[in-house]
Amino acid sequence: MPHPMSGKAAICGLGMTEMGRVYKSATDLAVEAVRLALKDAGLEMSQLDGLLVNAGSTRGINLGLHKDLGLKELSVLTFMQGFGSSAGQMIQYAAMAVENGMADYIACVFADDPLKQGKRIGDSYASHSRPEAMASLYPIYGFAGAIPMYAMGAQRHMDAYGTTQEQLGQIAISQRQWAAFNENATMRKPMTMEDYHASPWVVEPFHIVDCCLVSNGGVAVIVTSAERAKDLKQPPVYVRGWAQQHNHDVGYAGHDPLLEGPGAKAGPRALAMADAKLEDITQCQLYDCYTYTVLVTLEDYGFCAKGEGGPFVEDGKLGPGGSLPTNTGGGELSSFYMWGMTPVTEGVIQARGQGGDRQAPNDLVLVTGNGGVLNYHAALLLSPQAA
Amino acid sequence: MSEQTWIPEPSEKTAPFFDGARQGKLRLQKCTDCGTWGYPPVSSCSHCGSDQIEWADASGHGTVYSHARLMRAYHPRHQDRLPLILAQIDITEGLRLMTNIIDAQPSDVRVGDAVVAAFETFPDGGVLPVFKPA
Repeated sequence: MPHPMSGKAAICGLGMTEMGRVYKSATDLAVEAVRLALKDAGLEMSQLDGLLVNAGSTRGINLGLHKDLGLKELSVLTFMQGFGSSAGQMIQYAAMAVENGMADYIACVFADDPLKQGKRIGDSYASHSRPEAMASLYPIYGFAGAIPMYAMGAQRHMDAYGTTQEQLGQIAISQRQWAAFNENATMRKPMTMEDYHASPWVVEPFHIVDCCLVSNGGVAVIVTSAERAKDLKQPPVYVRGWAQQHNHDVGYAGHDPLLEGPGAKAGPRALAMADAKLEDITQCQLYDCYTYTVLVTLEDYGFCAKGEGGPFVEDGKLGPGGSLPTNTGGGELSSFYMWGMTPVTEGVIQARGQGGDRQAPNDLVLVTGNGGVLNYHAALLLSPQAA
Repeated sequence: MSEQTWIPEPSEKTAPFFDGARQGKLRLQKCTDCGTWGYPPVSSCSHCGSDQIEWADASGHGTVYSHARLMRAYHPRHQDRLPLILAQIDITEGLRLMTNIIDAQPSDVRVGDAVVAAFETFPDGGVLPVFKPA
C-alpha cells in the first residue's frame, strides 16, 4: 500500500528563465520564473497563496520576494536553505501543505546570479570577507569550495574499487549526448573520450568537465493538490514518493561518507512511500555537481552494488538509447546549474511527456538533490500517474 | 593576499594549535571526561557534551583516508608546487584532518598509506602542520 500522501499533490506549473550568461539580478530572474510558471499552469498571480524561497550561491533572493511579486496575502511563506537538497525539500513541504489545506497553489522558487559581466567565475564564488580563525587555513592547504572534497571521494572510490578515469568520463560523455537534444543546454557540442582527457585538470581526478557549470537563471514550480491539477493546462506531474536524509559525520575517522552518501537511506523510504520497487524507476534525474556524484548516487540507490558504479556506467547505459536514461537534459554538467532545480525541471518535463527528441520512459522518475559534500539529500518520485 | 596573512591571528581559543606547531607538535583538543579528541577547536565535547576540554599533543601518526591533487594555484603557498597533494588523514586519535602530504610523489600516494605529521614554516614565520609518508 502506498503512503496516504502518495500521489495526492502534483506539480502543475514550471517556469524557467533563460539559463547561463543572462545578466539579470537573482530577484528579476525569480520574478520572471514565477510569472512563467503561472502562465505555464494557466493560473493568475492572485491565485498564488503560498511561496517557498531558496537562494543560490549569491544569496540573491530572500523572504521579501513576495513583495517583488506583488503578493499581498499568502497563507504559506518561508525561506528555506538545504543547499542542493532545497528544491526537493520545497516540493515536499509544499505537497504536505496543499494536501493539508494550508494553501491551494504554492510556488517553489530558486534563482542565482553568480555570473557578473566582466568578472571571472572564481571572483563570484570567492569569499570577500576574511574567513574566521581555523577556517582560513583551508584555502592555504588548497581546500576551497566543494571540488577538492568530491575529488577525494572519487579518488577513494578509485583506490578502493579500481574505478577508472574513463568511467567517470563516460558519465560526462553520456550527459553531453543528452544535452545535444536540449535547446536550453549551455554545452551541446559532442564530447569524445579524447576531449574528456584533454579537458584541463582542476583537482585531479577531476577535469573541468567533471564539474558542473556555473549559471545565472531562475526556476519556479507550482505545487497544488492532485484534484486541482487535473483541471489545469498541463498534464499533472504527481508526487508519488519522497524522502530526505542528512548526514554529517565528517571530521571523525571510522565513517566512510565519501563512499556512501545519504541517498542510501533516502531511497528505500521514498520507494516505500510510493509502494514501488527500484526496478519500477524508468529514468533518473540525479544531482550531478560532479561526475562522481552521479556514480555514488546510483550505487547508494542500489542500481548496482557498492563499488560497481564504474563498470555499471561504462557501457553508456545512462545516455540516449541506454537502459537507464539519466540526466536526460544534460544535467548540471552540460545543461545549466540551478542547484536541485536542474534535476527537478527535467523530471517535470519528462513526467509530462514533453521531452521531445529526448523523451525517455517516464512511468516513474527519480529526482535527487544533494547539498554539502554528500551531506544533505532530498529525493522525489514523480509520475504522470497518480497511483 | 600578503605573506603576513597566511596564518590567522591566533585567538585565545586557537593559539595552542599554532604554539604546538611551532614546537613541532600536533596539538589538538581532548575531552578529559570521555577522551574524545576534537578539531577544529570547540567549547564542548561533540561526543559526551562535557565542557572539560584540554589541549593535548597527538601522536602525529595516521593513515590516508583519501587524497587528490590541486592543479591550479590560488594562494601564494601553492605557487611552484603543483600538483599539491590534498589529503584527509585519519589520525590514530580518531580524527579526520584536512591537510597536505609533502615529500611524496603524487602518483605514489594511496588510500591507507601510513603518514606522520610534519611541520611547514612559512615566509612570515608561521608554522602549519602537514603530513609526510611514515
